[in-house]
Amino acid sequence: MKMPAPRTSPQAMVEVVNLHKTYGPLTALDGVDLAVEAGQVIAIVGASGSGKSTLLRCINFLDPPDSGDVWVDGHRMGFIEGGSGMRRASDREIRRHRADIGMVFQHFNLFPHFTVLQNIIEAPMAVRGFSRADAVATARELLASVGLAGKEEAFPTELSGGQQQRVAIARALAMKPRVMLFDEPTSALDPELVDEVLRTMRNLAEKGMTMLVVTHEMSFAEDVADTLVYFDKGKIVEAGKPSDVLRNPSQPRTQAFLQRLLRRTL
Amino acid sequence: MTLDFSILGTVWPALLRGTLVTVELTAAVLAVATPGGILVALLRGAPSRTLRTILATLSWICRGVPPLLLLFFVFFGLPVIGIKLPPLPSAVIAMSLYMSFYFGEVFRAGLNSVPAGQWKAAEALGLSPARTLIRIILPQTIPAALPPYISHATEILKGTALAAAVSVPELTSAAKQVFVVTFRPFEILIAAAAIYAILDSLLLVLQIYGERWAARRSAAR
Ligand SMILES: Nc1ncnc2c1ncn2[C@@H]1O[C@H](COP(=O)(O)OP(=O)(O)OP(=O)(O)O)[C@@H](O)[C@H]1O
Ligand SMILES: [Mg+2]
Repeated sequence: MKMPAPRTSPQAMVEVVNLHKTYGPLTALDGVDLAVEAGQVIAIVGASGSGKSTLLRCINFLDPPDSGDVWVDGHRMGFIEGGSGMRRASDREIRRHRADIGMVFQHFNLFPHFTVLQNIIEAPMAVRGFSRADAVATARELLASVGLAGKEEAFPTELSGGQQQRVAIARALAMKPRVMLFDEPTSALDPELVDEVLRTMRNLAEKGMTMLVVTHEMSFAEDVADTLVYFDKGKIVEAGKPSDVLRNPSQPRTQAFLQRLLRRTL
Repeated sequence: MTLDFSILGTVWPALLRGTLVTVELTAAVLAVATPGGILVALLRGAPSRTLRTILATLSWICRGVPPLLLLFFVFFGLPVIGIKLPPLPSAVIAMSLYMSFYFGEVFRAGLNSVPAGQWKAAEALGLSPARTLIRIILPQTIPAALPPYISHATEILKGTALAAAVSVPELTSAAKQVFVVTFRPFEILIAAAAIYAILDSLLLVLQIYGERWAARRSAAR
């Protein structure tokens, strides 16, 4: 059994150490290191195909990395601490740990045959073993907190894109995750619906949720994120305070890319 | 010739018994071939090439030969290697075998109609693959799979008449038995046809109900 690589920030809520992932001949992640403190918001930007989604999928082991480690809340993803050291986790154990990490997708991916309420309570009941009454109570609270009280019995197709994405956020939160991953949560939305979703995410950040957000919304990145990370070809090439990275990127490539984004959004 | 349906007053118990056997056989084949078809559909997407080839070959054979031949194979062939089954189970096995492959195609198309993001979202929530399949994916195959499923189910219903060949007392053979002794083939066959028509429409009701269920949930993608 390969020993874990040394951690540099053992107190971090999420720590990614030297992560590699290839798809056939294609290198999607080429040695990514990243530490996210509890309550921090990290914005991840980068060109299409640079590996942003792959990083999120490797963090929750939807797509296990080829090498490198992911630590979430002190736990090494994909492994179980046994009496005699680490052993590889079973699929079932991986699912249990994955449940600690919420994920929100670009296309919402709500279950269309379920009502809003069913969408939210399914996993807490099946995976966490919550009673129906508890799951429903939590779901109602969460719906209210994302501004959708009263929509319990609606079907996803009856909601706007912005409302669907807020349901998706509530669905992820219902698992009581330690960390939330967002993969371009507003990219599929009509421009006038973007703000309501960003507002929901901002609220969540203010409540202290640890968040990794792949986004092209530069104003959100600048206002809400503690750190902005710029991805290129599977590597983090810039990381720092959003305003610094946005205004004074050290690499010319980053500069060009961010200039384009800023022009589009400002 | 005049039709006189009063004969039904005396033969109805025999027709009813035949109807029950037909319903029973249809239900049993559906109960076996539906999960069988789902399994075939899943396995045909399996990574193992060998498995996929074996399955494709089996599917080709089972769908390519007359169902009656499969039935004879199970009822008359298997006893040779020491597996002796009564008529009804033989019919269930033979019909389920080839219907599983037809349903396999139906469910494959259905599974392909569900966006990959649905599996991803369920997986991200920590749901098990089995639970995901049953609760999340299969219900969403209904719009695509239900119409061909019901038309195959109708084929099964009609196909149960084949089981007469190994002396399963289903509706068609029950009808024959009573008309050869009463000499009223027209009335009795018309009655049997009416019963089949009613059973067919029950399947259609199922389809309409399913389509209505799916309509409100139809995914806008
Ligand atoms: N499942 C997969 N199979 C094969 N290649 C993949 C797979 N997932 C991602 N890739 C490849 O890995 C690279 C990184 O993809 P990824 O989706 O992580 O990029 P991204 O930064 O999220 O891009 P985008 O902004 O377009 O979403 C791309 O070249 C992509 O084609
Ligand atoms: Mg992506």
